[in-house]
Amino acid sequence: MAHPPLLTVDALHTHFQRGSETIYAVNGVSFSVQPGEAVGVVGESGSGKSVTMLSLLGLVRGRVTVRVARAQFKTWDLTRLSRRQLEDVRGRDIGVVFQDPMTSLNPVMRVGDQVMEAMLAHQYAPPRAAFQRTLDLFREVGIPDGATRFRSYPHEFSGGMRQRVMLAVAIACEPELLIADEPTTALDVTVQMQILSVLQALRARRRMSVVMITHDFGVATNFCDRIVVLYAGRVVESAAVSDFLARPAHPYTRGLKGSILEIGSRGRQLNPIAGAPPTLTAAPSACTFAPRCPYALPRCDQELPLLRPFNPGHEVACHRAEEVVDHVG
Amino acid sequence: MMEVPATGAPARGAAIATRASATRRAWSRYRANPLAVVGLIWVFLFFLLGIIGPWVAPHGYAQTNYLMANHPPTWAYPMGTDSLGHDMFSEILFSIRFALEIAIFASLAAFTLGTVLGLWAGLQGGLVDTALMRVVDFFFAFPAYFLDLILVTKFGRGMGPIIFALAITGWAGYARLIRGLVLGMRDGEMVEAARALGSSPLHTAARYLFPNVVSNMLIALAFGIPGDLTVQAALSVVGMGLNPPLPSFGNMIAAAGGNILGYPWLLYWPAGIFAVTLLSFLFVADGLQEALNPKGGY
Repeated sequence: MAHPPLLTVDALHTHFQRGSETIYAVNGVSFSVQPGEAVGVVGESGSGKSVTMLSLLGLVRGRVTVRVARAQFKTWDLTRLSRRQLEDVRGRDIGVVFQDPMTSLNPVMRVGDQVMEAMLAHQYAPPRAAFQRTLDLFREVGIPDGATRFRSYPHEFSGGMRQRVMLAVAIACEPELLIADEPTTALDVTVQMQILSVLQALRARRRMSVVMITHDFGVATNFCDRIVVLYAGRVVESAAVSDFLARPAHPYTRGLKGSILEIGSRGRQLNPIAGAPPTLTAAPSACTFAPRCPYALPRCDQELPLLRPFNPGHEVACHRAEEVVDHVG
Repeated sequence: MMEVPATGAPARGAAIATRASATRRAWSRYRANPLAVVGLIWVFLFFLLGIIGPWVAPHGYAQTNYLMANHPPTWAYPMGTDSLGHDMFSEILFSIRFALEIAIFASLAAFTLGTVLGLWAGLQGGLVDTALMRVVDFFFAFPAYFLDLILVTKFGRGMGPIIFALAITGWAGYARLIRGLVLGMRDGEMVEAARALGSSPLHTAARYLFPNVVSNMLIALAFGIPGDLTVQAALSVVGMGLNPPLPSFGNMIAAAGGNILGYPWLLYWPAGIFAVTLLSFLFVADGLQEALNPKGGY
């Protein structure tokens, strides 16, 4: 692409220490986000989706080691920033929306104050301007009668309304990148659609990049330009949505697609992936998906498949991708 | 979600009403406890006497009248006089003031120190937490009263040293309480979201953690004040409290014990008022507990 990427991550490793065990949560994840692009990071629970993003922002806690060859956001090397500088980047240049708006907002602070707080903490605007802007943001995310709702507390809001507040907080300083960590998972389906359309509108209006972490294919494929599939802390496939839908090249991605039930597919057999994800207590030395893979060869148990270009804009980490993609099954 | 009103003006009122009703709900829970209400009235009276006492006292606290020593109550000495001819009524009024000053300043100092250190320990975790909590363990393990005696012996029996001693032995409880509450929230989503917004640890503590536990801390403070009143009196009982002629309930009660048959008013007035006061403070604290934290104990 012509522009340099907004965010480039190269070989991110995050390991947790639990007792005498090491949990290899993220094992060499690489991806990039272009300006204005929406990237969907999908994978099942424990695949390292959230930990990847939290590691980049310095938000993982506990006994943890984060190693990364390169983590560049705009012109900053995220690994070189001091704690103070990183605090400044979070919330100002990178906004974050979390899964559960019930527990993410401060229950004893008025919702309007929480939006203003974001701007005041980063000296984005003086108080009077921040107040006006809060009202504008409330209108933009679809909170009616903002002047009144400004004074409400989170418990007076429904889940959907709270998530709108979270969105307003996250975009208050006009970040260039918004990380949405399962933003609709805790909401019911009709509200999910409302939140997604608000998010879509926000994104379109400001050409903001979005990293959408989700396990919902529908959400990912509707909202995003590109999908990154994580499995056991590694990227197994990265493709534009059209390629992802039409020509999935990794057996895991195919398996995921085969295990989704769609309306109007009565009588179709569901093909769940056999087995369970690996336990992540050892660093991967072979294909982590091989034990569950219908295409596995002896080679897959010995050699770690690296993420390699497959087609333009389509990368995959599988020894047999060429055969998999053409296999009708 | 609530009905969104169409117009601004009544809606603003509605939003304020919901806020007011939270306070009103707490107050109605408090009012439902008659002991707490009676306690609050007495505590209020006690504070009032503490404030105006020095101006309404008919005699000075150090003023003696040997001709009138050990005199039963009269119009000039409404609660009688002690063996030195001090007016018991004036003594009690001044005692209220000094006792309140000591208990409140000592509790506030302990509260502040404990809150800051406990927040720090809870939020920081790791070595800071371990080290601070071992210090807290030490203060819990070491008899507080004994340490108070040592500190007062070392630094003197004035107002300042006693406040200092009570604060030193009192902070650990607040620290342990708030540290536990913070631990419950530290890895929660609210703190994670705050950090994701770029909130510094100090900012997180001041704007997110403390406001969420302030009611628990106030309840602890309400229990702490009568505790300090008791210890302050207990110091006087063994002769290590406020230096005479500064009056204190402990001094009066201890001195009266020997003359209980001859001059009972010397014991009944201070002991009665002090006992009722302690009970009232505890009832108030209990009522606050139910009103602010109806779901459970702290």
